[in-house]
Amino acid sequence: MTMKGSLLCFALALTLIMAIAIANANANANADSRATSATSATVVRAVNVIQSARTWLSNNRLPSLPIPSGQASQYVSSNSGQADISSNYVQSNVQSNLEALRRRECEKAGLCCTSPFGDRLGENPGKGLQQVSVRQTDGAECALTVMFN
Amino acid sequence: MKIFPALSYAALATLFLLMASVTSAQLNPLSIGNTRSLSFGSFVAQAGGTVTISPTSARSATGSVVLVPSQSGYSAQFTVQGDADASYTIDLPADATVVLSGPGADMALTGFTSEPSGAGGRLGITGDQVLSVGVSLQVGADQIQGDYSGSFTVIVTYN
Repeated sequence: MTMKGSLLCFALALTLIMAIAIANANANANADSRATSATSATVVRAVNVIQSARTWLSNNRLPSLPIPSGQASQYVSSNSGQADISSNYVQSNVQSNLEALRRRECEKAGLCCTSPFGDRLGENPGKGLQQVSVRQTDGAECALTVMFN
Repeated sequence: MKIFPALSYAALATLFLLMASVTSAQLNPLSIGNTRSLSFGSFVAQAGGTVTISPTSARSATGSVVLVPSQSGYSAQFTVQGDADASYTIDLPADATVVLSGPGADMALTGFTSEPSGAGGRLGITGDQVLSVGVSLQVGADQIQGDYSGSFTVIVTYN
């Protein structure tokens, strides 16, 4: 083979190698890429207000369960008693607000609704029951408001 | 020099080939990484229904499912990287091919959506783009309470 022929072969071989390399690079660039995401959900129990064996809600509304999202469910008592609030779900909060429906008259008479938790229950994480006791006299109505937050 | 014409021919052919390849192909491989997992948050199942997370992380429910606002969930996010201004296609899982497993019956995922979607992905001038994915969860009646988990895969390809 002549010198010219050898160089021509070398040049052609070089061209072919580069073409293959470029084709491979393009093939790699055009290959798809994928990524995986974890996904999760937590199913919880409804917040529940249970009529206790005592006299809470004795002649009032029955709880409507579960409490709709972002809304409050209110229960009215016309007598003293106790309610059990079940918050048997994980990493969520229940807030309750205990107040006199007729606060002005209540304050005037010095007969207000009370509970061990004050006016606001606050967070109630974890499982189990939380109790609210209400004492009132003189016919003043007390309202217990339970809501998701 | 007699060999010069041969060398010139080969060099020119190589140069043209290189130029044609460089101008027509994306040399940077397309890559995608998961930066945030998808969460449906917390909810009460009752008689069942669906919980949907949109690509913008908006959550909604159908049926008798009640959402717990304090655990609101969010969409999945990915970062796609490659050539600047390149367009790409997003492939999402088909309906009911992904399930969440937990203490109760499996819950299927349906209606995957993304932003951008389909063949509409386009990388920015820095060669990347955030891809958000949402989907609906099919919740069974009286779904047993507890934590459920699963995973899904997103595929991206240059157009």
